[in-house]
Amino acid sequence: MTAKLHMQGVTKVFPGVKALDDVSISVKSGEVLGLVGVNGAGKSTLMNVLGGIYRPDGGHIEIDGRRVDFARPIDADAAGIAFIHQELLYFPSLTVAENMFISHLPTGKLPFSVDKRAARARAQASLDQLGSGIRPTARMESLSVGEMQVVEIARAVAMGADIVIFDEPSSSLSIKEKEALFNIVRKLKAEGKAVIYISHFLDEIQELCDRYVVLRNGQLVGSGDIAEVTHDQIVEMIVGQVVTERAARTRRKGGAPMLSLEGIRREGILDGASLELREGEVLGLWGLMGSGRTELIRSVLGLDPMDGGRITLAIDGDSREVSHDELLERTAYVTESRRTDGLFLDEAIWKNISSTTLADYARGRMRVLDKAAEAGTARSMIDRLKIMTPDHHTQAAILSGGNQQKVVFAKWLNRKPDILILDEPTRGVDVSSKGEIGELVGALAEAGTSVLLVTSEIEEMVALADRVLVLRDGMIAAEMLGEDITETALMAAALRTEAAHA
Amino acid sequence: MSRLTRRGFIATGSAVGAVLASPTIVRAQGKVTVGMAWPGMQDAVWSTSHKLLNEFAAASDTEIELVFTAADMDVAKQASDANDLISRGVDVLLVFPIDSKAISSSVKRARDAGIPSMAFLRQVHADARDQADVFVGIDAKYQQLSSARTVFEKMNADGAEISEVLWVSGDIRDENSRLRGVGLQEACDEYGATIAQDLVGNWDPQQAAAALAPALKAYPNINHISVASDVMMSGVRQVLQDAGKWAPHGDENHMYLSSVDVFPIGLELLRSGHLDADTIFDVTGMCRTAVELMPRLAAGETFDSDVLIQGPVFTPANVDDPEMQAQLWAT
Amino acid sequence: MVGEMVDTSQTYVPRDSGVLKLWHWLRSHPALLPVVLSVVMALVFALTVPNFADLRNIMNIFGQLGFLGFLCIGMTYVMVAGGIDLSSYTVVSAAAVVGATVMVATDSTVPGCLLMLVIGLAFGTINGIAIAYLRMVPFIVTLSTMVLAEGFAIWFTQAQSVYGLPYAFIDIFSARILPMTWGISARPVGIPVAGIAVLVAALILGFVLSRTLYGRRVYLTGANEETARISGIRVRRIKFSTYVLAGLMAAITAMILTADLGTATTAMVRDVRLMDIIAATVIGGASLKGGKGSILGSMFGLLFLTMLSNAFNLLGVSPFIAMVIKGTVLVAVIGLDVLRAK
Repeated sequence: MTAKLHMQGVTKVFPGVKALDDVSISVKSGEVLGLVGVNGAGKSTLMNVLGGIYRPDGGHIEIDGRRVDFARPIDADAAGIAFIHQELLYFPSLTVAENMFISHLPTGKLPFSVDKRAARARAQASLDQLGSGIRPTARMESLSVGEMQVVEIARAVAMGADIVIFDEPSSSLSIKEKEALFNIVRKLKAEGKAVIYISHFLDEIQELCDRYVVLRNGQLVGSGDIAEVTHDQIVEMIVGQVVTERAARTRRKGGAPMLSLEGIRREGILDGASLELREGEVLGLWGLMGSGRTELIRSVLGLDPMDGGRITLAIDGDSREVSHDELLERTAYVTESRRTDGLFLDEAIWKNISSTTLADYARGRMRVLDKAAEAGTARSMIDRLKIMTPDHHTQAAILSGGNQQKVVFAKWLNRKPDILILDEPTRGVDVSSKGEIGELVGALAEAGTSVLLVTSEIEEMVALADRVLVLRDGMIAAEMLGEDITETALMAAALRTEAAHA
Repeated sequence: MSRLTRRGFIATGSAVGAVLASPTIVRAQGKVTVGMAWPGMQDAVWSTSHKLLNEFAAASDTEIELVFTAADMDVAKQASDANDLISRGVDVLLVFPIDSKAISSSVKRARDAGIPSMAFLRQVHADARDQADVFVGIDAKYQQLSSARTVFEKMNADGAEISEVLWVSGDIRDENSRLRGVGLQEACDEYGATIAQDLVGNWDPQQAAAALAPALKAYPNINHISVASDVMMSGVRQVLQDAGKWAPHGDENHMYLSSVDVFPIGLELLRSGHLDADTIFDVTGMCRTAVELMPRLAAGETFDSDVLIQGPVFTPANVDDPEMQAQLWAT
Repeated sequence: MVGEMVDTSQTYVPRDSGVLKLWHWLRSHPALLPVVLSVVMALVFALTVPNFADLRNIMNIFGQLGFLGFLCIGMTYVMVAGGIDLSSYTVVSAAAVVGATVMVATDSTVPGCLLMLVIGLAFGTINGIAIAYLRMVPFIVTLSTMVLAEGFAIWFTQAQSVYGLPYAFIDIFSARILPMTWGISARPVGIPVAGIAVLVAALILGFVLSRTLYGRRVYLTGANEETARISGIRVRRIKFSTYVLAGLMAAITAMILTADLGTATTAMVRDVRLMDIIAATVIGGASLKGGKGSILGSMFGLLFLTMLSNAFNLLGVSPFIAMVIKGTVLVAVIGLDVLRAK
């Protein structure tokens, strides 16, 4: 059987960099191809060539064995290629059906009129095909991110796409939504669509895909049947060097209580959550999206309202009740979205790093800032955290995701905090930065810092946490210790939650 | 009493002539540069006077250069503009004051720099520290006085009862509006009438209508409305039409109307017989006089009194006379 | 759900060429644009416009900076912290008429000046509370206080100008000191106190904004309020303080203008000048999105606009052409800002 889609020897050169170097991939109907690689490996460029956004400098594309030439995105569209993007484009105030057919609305009997009934019926058919319960008449803005994605897929199905490309589809989905997505991918496969699935989440690749392709530095470094390769082998291909087997490690016990939260309540979200964070431990906070993990942190820090509860903090050995502001001033908080509330994107790196401890640089009665000292701190942090940047004057915005996240860590480490709160600390971070951040967190805990870790990534939780609390319905539902912290146990805890909701 | 009678004199045609024919005339040598600190160009009076001053200056025996600045109704900006003109070293500072008190400091600054100043249309306030060397303006009080007086005379001739008058004023911040109110009051005093109510029309037909409609209900027996400017007449017409009192003179429903300015709508209503008296806002006369005085001011002549222009009263009877038509500028 | 979802367009691209280096430098020194613009224009005008470089005119321009300079300083602080203040120019009138009325009634300077300060600070406080603590939109809040202050001033004065001020007050604030004779000036020309006052204020407040702890906090609050808040900056306090400062600046402007005009009126400063204030601040490098701008830049932005209108007045060219040029420069500067952001 010939491949549904074949890309032969594709090369793409940008000024100063060869983004793609003789890359060939193919995917058959009824097959899911996993495409993996670090940031900048060439995945996006390859998909942009396929989507008609870039013209290749070498090589060509074949569909059903016939050569095609995509000059514009619409050509790829016409050839039956559909992209399910990571960031969804939609009109929030229009209905699901209107969004699905926005460029191909069925016309009514009168000129310029729209046959809404036909649009609804076709939308319903596509959604049914995917086994989704979304109503075509629902407003787009009322849907969750996962549901919007389903609409996007239904749209591709309705347009008659034979080749569906998923670009990091699971990034912003909850565990439950992810499961739904996987089912849809399997359905598409069963219907004979050719699927390309891009993800960094190797577990997903292993679960969903038939074959895999690994890109590194614009070159194809590995491909084959997924059944014939191990997790670590893929990682090795991606990173280009041998990474050590995830060593079973001893979990820290933790020392004296550092921060106690008692009966934290927030109307409709938190229902009396209590926890104790000890000195020198990494305490994981596990739960579904919407279980109140981030909300608990924000309420306690005074960033969101808190309707009740007590916050006790150990300050110089004495435990006492503290205000939100006092806690905020003594806590380092790596937020889940660094671009929104982690960084001053337009500002230089050095200004970002000193922002948490500005008063330390103020001199004299006029409180004049010692810029040389600020720059000194920034330079030493750049060295310590191996931040890849030309210098400390560089704008934070132009750094890569991993280096941006390191700047966020730098600004908090600069405060030498007793408490470090991490909310999705490696989201959108490349593999090598991710490893460095993991090591850093471990080292900080060893040195006595109390770390509260929120992550949706199960591997990260297992790798980093000394103790895990499961948050469910705004309350702490369970605690896991030491050897009990396994991927299976965490998944089980999450699935129980799902069962409870069903 | 108003400052006009305290400090100035009413310049009738012959009085202006007397000033102009004064034996102390000294002709300035060469070109006279006059800096104009104007409020802006958006208003018809501002732009018309700007145009007429340039025309009269071009026709003058003396070479006169006008340097124009506009302050967009901003008092502080006008002070800055005046400063700029003083810096430029103009021979005469011609100010059309936005604020009659604030302009005094610009006049002082000009004087300190040895530059005489002329106030145009709006006088420097009498209580202000420094006064302009000469003021050329319209006799605003006379306008309303003469217009209302003409109507009262007509009412007497018609045998109509003279009792109460409704007064539709302009912008209450505007000195001209205030003075016209004083003029109306004087006319009322002469004929034994009283002003029933002051209505703020803000030079705007809509606002005039909004103010007039309830007042007309409150005073059903009113037979004379005096309006501070005929620019507001369309609003007055609307209200009177609604009240069934819009009729030309001679009709039993006629409302006696006196107004000021002779804008196009005033002319139209004079011709149709609805408006009984309208005293012209004599910009032409004022500009002619201002240009005549410029070289004399530059030459160091001093003036003891204001030059107030009194334009004629337009009535349905004289509106189409050629000599009256020659006075028109706003058409 | 973790993985590299970093947008490749954000990766660092080295910029080597000289043009790009210059661009990079300009971008980090946005105050340079108005400085260069002003210096070039001053030179051109000095050579082409009669009397422009005359001492009397230089002092005239210097004194005119005192009219809007303080408002520009206030606006810069507010805009750097991510806000906007549309009310300052009517607050000037409100403070001026009340203070002047008291001065006239008591025939003394101090109580009236104090009252001007109180009213300026009161409006600043209202803006600050509504925006910083009640989280209302700056544009709407200050638009409302703008109308409120104007209405208050008209009601208070019944639209009559307040005059008969103590000469002591007028003479202090509108004084010109150290008279000197230079160039073609036939009579001695003094240095306007208003200009000196704004210069001193600009130096002090410029230093505070660019060099001190408080100033940095103002910048960071404007750059990203959420990040600043989480980083431990009391953003509400910072935002509040900028509006109070803007109120104080309006009060000082009220004193200077009242003395200079010898009267307080409701039409002292009109909306067209609000445009000048915002234009000067934006030309000076400020952004409506916050986190950018400087006192140095704003002052030169104001100097640029002042010189432009002065030169046109000296030339006797229509002031409306000056408006066209102002508008064009403003659009160009905003366009440049958009380019710089890329």
